[in-house]
Amino acid sequence: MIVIRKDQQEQLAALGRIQFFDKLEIHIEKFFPDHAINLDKEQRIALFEYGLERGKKYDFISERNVCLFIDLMLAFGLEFDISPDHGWAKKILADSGQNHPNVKMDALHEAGMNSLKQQF
Amino acid sequence: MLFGVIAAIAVIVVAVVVVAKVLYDSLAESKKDACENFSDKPVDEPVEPCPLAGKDEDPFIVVVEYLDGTDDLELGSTGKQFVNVTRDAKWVDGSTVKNIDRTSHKPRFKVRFNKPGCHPFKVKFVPDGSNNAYTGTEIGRNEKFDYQKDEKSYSTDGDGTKVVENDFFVAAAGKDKYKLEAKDDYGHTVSSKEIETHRLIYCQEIKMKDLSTIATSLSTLKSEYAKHNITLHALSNLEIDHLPNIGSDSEYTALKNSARTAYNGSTAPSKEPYVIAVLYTDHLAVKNSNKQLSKSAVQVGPGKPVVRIPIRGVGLRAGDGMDDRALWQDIIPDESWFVSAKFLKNGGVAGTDDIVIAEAKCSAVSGSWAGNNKYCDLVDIDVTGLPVHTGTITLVVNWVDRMRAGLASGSGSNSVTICTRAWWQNKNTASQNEVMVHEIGHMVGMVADGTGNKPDKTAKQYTDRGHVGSHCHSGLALRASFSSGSNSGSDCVMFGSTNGKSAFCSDCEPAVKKVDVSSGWSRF
Repeated sequence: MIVIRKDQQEQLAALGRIQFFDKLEIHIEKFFPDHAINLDKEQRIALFEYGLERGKKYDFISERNVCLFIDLMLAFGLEFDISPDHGWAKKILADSGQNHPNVKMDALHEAGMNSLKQQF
Repeated sequence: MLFGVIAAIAVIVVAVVVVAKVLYDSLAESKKDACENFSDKPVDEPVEPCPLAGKDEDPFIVVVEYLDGTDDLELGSTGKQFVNVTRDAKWVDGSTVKNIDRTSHKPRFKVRFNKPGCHPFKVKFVPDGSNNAYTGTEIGRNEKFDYQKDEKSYSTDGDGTKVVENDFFVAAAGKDKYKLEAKDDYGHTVSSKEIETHRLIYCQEIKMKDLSTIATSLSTLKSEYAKHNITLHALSNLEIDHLPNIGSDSEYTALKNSARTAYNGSTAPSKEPYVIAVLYTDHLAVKNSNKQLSKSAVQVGPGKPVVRIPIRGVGLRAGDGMDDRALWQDIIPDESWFVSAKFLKNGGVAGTDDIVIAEAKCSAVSGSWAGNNKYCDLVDIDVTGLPVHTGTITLVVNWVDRMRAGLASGSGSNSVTICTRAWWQNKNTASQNEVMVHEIGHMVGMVADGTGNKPDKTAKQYTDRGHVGSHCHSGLALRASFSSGSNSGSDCVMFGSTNGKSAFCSDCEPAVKKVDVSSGWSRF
């Protein structure tokens, strides 16, 4: 039998978050360079923490979904999910159907893309 | 000042468009990265899975989606599925037919799970409630009137995905919509986007040189078929030498030989068997030759009045009755309506006492069609040059049996013939389109009579009755023959003679949506 203490588990979890944030930094520098250049390390971490907490409201807790949620925040604003300017987001996120979070995120991402496409 | 404001607005508009495009591209690319490099593991899960934290999460189905060109591309919005054509890249043009997955009645789709492994799932079609409803007898006659109704079970390949092809098929109709619904063994259900069924037919126009008029547009034709999700895609026009009339079998053969030579050298053969050749011709008049008319008790001789003989007779088609007939003139150069004329006095012996009347003494006269001086249904005979007698004049003429507006080649062959002139008058673009809708209607199986691969018989379908083939009498009571009498009220383009209508009636519309054109047509 082997045991693991609660504090050890928390440390491992914190480590996972740090590794995730490291990957996120590379991600936004690559795909949102104009945004990334205006954010220092602290601001980036704050952004990631904010996105992580905000995404939890919609069951976006996986790395993939949090990453995509933060991408949408960069594209449409930090509170795009409740902004009246982005009704497509509110509509999808308000749907309390049985969709898996991945399916919901895919729909959200696609709606965001479509809203941009209408502008060009 | 004003210029400055306009310039500023223009700059803002351009900036908005550019920013939107940049963000769009960024989001598209970033999603690929997110899906490839960021896992479905919760962010706050310990780095190393804890052996005491519980078992792995159950696999779950993430996506069922129609494929859209390759195994890795999924349909992004409602797809136009061209169900009559075979699965072949040669139909793909990037605009009408977007990619090879939008061809054939067997759309491919892909199922993805959240993690690799062989995961069982079930999938079925969810047809739209507005889809065409085929009867059991229709499906019994033609299996392509049915879609895959069964829910089928599969398992993903080791990578957690599965591409399904060939097992799922949709019906032959147009305007049907289908979604896919898939579920895993853990209660997760996902749905696909929608495909809507269409049919694709290529239209190869072949135009005779020197026609006095020709349809300048196919818009009426195309829009009528588009209503029923039949896309008529026009190929580049072809040209052939002029033929004055297509009436006899030999003339029709000559037309087809000439048109076929042009057709063979075009792109049309590469689109077979889904090509319909539209052959524009001059008159499509049918001649009734050597018809004898007599008038007795006529007085001839110097000073006697002209003898007028009405041109009347029975038509060639079964069911045709007695009617006025127009003399065969100005249809084929050097071909006359006049055959012979003679006078036989009362009591004279036929063959011995006949007096030949010269053609110059016989004049074609226009009568019942005011304003159309080519339509002559009377002959006036000058008898003043004959000796004084009372007797019988016998006149032999060629007359017009009927003028056809169009022809469908029939027997699965891929041509329709459209006349540009009838009764010596030009047919305008609208009239020619009306005839094209009608003739192509025949090509696609209208009017359905409940036989072979066709849908059930429509409510107002009739066969022949003074016309040739299967037609629709919507708006009129059924009669023994429609070749004479008033046809006012006829309201379907598939009536057996032109009626000014270019749309299918409400009885025919459902059948046009249902027809199966997947077999296409063979070269004429």
